[in-house]
Amino acid sequence: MEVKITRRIPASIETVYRAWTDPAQIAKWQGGRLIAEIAVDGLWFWGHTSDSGNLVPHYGRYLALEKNARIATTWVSPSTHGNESRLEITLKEVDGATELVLDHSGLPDDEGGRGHESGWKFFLGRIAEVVR
Amino acid sequence: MLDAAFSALSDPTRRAIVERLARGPRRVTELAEPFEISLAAVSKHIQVLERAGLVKRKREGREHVLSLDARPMREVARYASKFEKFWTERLDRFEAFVVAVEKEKEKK
Repeated sequence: MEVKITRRIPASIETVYRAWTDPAQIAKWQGGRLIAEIAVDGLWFWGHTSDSGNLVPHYGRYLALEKNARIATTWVSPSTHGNESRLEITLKEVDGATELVLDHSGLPDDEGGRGHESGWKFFLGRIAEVVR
Repeated sequence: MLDAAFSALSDPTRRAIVERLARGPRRVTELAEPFEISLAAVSKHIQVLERAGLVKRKREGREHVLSLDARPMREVARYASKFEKFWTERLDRFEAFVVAVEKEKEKK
C-alpha cells in the first residue's frame, strides 16, 4: 500500500529542502537520534523512543537528492517488518510557499508484510467511510 | 483476527463482495449475480469472509441474508492508516519547525 500526503508549507522551498537534508535540522523536528550521510547512496539511521520507552530503529539509503526539488530514500522500520519501502518528497514553489508531496510506497498490506496490491488503500478508504 | 481479515481481503472477488455488502445486506443469490463464477464458488468466498468475522449470515425463511460486520473492517482500516497517522504527525512537527526557521531568518 501507499500513503500520499500533500501539504502547503508557508516557507520558502530552500528552507523546506534544507530542513529535510541538514542532519542537525532533521534531528530537531524528527526528534530522537539521527546519523545520516546526505548523499545519493548515503546511509542513514534514525532511532526514536516509543511511548513505552523502546528504541524504534529506522534505516535507509538515499536514492535521489535534487536540490530544492526532490528527495527519495529507502525506508526500513519495524512497521515495514524489515522490508524496504520507498519514501519520496517532492517540492514545488507555489505563490511564495512550498507545496510538499510525501509519497511513502511499498508498505506492507498486513501484519505479515504482504507486498503491494493496487487499489487496496482506495478500497479500505471507501469501506472505512461506510462502516464509520 | 486481524490476520484472518487481511488474508480474506487479499482476494479481489472477496473485496468486491464486501463492497456490495457495504451498500446494505443482500441475499446470497442476489450477491452472486454480478460475478461470472458459479454460485458454489461465490459461497466458498462468502465462507472465507464469515470465518474472518467480516460477514454475518441470517436466516430469513428459506433465504440466507448476508451483512457486513463493521468492527473487524474498522480494525483493518485503522491499521492501513497507521502510516498516514505517523506522517501527518511528523509533517505537523516539520511545518512548525520550518515556519520558526523562516521567522528567524526574517529577523536577521
